[in-house]
Amino acid sequence: MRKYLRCSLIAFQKHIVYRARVINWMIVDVTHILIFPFLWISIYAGRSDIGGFSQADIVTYYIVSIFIGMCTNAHNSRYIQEDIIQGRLNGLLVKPIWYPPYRYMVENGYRVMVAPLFFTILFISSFFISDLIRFPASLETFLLFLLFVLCAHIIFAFIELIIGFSAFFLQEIQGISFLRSMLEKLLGGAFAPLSLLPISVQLVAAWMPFQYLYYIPTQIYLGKITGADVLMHFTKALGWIFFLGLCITLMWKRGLRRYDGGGM
Amino acid sequence: MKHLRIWMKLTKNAFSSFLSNRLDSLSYLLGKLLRFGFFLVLIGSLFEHTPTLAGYTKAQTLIFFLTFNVVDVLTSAFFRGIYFFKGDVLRGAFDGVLTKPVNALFYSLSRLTDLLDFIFLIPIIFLLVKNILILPQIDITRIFSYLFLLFFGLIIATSIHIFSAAISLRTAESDNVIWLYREVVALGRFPPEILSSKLQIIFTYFLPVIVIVAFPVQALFGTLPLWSFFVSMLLALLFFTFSIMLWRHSLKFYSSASS
Repeated sequence: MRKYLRCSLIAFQKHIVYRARVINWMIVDVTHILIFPFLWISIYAGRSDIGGFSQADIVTYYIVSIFIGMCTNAHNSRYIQEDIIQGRLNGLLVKPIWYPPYRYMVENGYRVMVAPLFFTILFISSFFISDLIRFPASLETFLLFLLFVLCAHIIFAFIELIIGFSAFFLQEIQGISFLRSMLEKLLGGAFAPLSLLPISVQLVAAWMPFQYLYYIPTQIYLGKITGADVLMHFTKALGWIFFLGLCITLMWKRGLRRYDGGGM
Repeated sequence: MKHLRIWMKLTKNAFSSFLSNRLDSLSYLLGKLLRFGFFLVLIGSLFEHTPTLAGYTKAQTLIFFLTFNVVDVLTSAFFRGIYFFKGDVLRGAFDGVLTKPVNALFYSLSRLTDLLDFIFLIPIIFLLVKNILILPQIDITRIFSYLFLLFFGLIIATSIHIFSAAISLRTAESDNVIWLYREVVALGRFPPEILSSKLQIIFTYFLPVIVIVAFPVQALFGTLPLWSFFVSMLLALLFFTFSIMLWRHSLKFYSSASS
């Protein structure tokens, strides 16, 4: 474990050198969601409730979504593709580390730098919009929320690894990565709560893992999913983690057989 | 004429490259269609809860969204090369561009024109025309004003792409400046009146998203004051001039590496 933590630390040190770049990416990751609270506030226009969401609920929904994004967003697939098609994987294969967790820990080096910065900004901002922010009803709710954020983190990381390992078979994966990004935002509830969208969209989202990235954790935070439903969703999230983990293992083994180390 | 021939050749090469990775290109196209379709659905869902959005009807809100898409598709299709420019600078591949008998900025911006994006324009233009035609009191003057201001909005957008290229030459920490522009301009999907007046000032005069997307639409609705036309032209002139000056100044700081 220490060697993987060391990889994370080295990545963190590398990001410290290019601080402006990291801050830029943090702003980029946040900006695409920022318009939506303004949009919904203008729709509320004095109304107390839309689709079961109060004004504070909807603003909190997006703030929490941004928080989850900070904890889960990864850009691993691009680096995995570069390692594969440029042959850099050769050097990593001979090292006494397993590549998938190595990549995961390197990405965490970015997250360790960005997350505290974001939380500080969020904490300061909360004083200006305190009447529009809802806090969890209880410590239990908050702990359950953190558990689901952990599930979202793992699911996101696994999906990125799968996209990255597709480079063993497809070489170019930017299009698939872009498609994944769109599905994650649209069916994950990043742009709008799924319950406010048409039933057809909700039915499609229910069969995919993306709802566990933003929508389900945020609904648990807001107390809109409770009791047996929490257990059901946790079981489903674990099921997706297990399935995606199997896919990663399979793709890694099959991909290594096809890998020819070219590009050195 | 020389640059037009070069652009056509580069575009043909880029299209061949896109076609050689059909799955990748189709995935991009599908992702964009999904995003477009989702926002159409979202706007429809919003109007189930409200008759107007910041005073605009559903058709008017759709025109804001579709105009944003026109700007987004045209700039990303023509200037796809800017997203890979930073990599060329870091690897020293920009040396090869500087030795070519073509304007380096023109080559860098336009070497990867994405023809597949133009396919996407077909449904956008269709829906735009459909929603414009149902507007009350629409006439040729308003349509001309819309196209006139859209042209200047595209000049501002082009200038921002040139800014991004110039910044890439000056600093190693700039590979995502263009993505920052893409995310900020996405604010133009919806009417600017949903923002506070202070934010509207920022996004009009400092990050002119409202000038690029909202001004043409408001001219189409007949709600844009005359002085805003001059603001749009002045900002386009200022942004374009300054971006070219910054590009030329930044070129002096380019030091080839790894070539």
